[in-house]
Amino acid sequence: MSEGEKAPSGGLASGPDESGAHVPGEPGLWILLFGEMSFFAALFASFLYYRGFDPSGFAEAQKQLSQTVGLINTLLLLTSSLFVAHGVRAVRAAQTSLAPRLFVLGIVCAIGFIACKSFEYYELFDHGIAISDHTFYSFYFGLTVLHLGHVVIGTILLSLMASATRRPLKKPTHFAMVESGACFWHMVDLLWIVIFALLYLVE
Amino acid sequence: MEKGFYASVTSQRVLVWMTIALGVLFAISYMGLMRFFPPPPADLPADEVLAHYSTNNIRFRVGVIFGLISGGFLLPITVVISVQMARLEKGVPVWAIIQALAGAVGTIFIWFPILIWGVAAFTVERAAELTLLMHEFGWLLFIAPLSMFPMQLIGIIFIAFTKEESDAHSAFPRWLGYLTAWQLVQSFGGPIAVLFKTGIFSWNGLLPFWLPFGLFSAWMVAICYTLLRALRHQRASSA
Repeated sequence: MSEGEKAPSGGLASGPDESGAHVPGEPGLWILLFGEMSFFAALFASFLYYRGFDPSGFAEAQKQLSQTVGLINTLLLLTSSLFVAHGVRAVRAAQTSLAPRLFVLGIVCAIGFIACKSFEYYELFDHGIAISDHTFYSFYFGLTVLHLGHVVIGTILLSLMASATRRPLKKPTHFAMVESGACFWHMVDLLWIVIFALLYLVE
Repeated sequence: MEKGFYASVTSQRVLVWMTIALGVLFAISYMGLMRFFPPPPADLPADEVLAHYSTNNIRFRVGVIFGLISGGFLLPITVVISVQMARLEKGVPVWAIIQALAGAVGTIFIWFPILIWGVAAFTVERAAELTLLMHEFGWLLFIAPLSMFPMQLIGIIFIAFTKEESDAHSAFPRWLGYLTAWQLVQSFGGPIAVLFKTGIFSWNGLLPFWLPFGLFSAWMVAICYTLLRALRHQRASSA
């Protein structure tokens, strides 16, 4: 039997073990999360590296972006993360009617994010801005498209979580999967906050 | 577990080693003879592209020959992965089937670009722009197609997370599931190469090339290790 298959003690509470340490999800998950984050960190570093060659050009290109739309998207993802965090708490308390609803609210915010982003792309293309115009736009489109891909994958994960938590979870490993999905979603949120700061706000 | 599976343990080990041997041969021809590692910049002018094919033309074409011989290196391991997946599935092993099919079709994107580059090297007397066309065709064929790859990975991820076998002896431990998931997420960088000629998103950049290349290499080492470990265990427990 693997570690994950210990008999659940007191529902599905996968709280701190004897040593007082609780790894959210499971240790293997962090291969994926740290891998992703270090990869994005490399992208952020190369953005700043290229920005160093042409700070004024980057600042000029940045003016085309709407900080308001960026801020709305930030709020949408933060709200969505809040719903998901409460959703995980509801799953832990075996509230099978509340948990899926919270995840669905998270999905609604995610869809709002995707809609805002599409609107933003449409506006930029409408102004005749092309990816090849400036290194800034290469980074802008590259980073945001990549991040959007993560949002889509995260939304699919949230849908799976919403559907799986309608009934009480049977095994602690199932709870770990829900927690893993939530961790992935929080990472998507965290990455967006850095992207927002770097692309929209840095002066 | 059914007895029948143990009968083919030796054959499966042979297939894994076949992939390792052919993979090494492919790496030698691609890196050493064709010299496409690191990849040439995506915005290289036509005459410089032509020069890559015309100087040391014979060495390049010998590289193409060995590339075409070894370009199917993923196929043997694809079969072993599917057999191991089928062991863990109940009823009709749908994930094993789609993994095998996607792996079979995906192999095309390894040997076919080699042939395209071979055509570019075949006649270096033609106009440089024509060589450039074949060169770009080959590179985008090598880097950008994503269609089959996720379907191959998604079943492995599913099995790693739903299997009832213990992680210690399995060909698909949970950590491999996460490594595979990371690879799946990052593989979406490939098609982005169609949009860029310079920078980290072009076909010689971090996203479409270096990251998938690094992750794929790490993943191959990991899955060869877990498969051989699982096969060793299966042989021991059948004896």
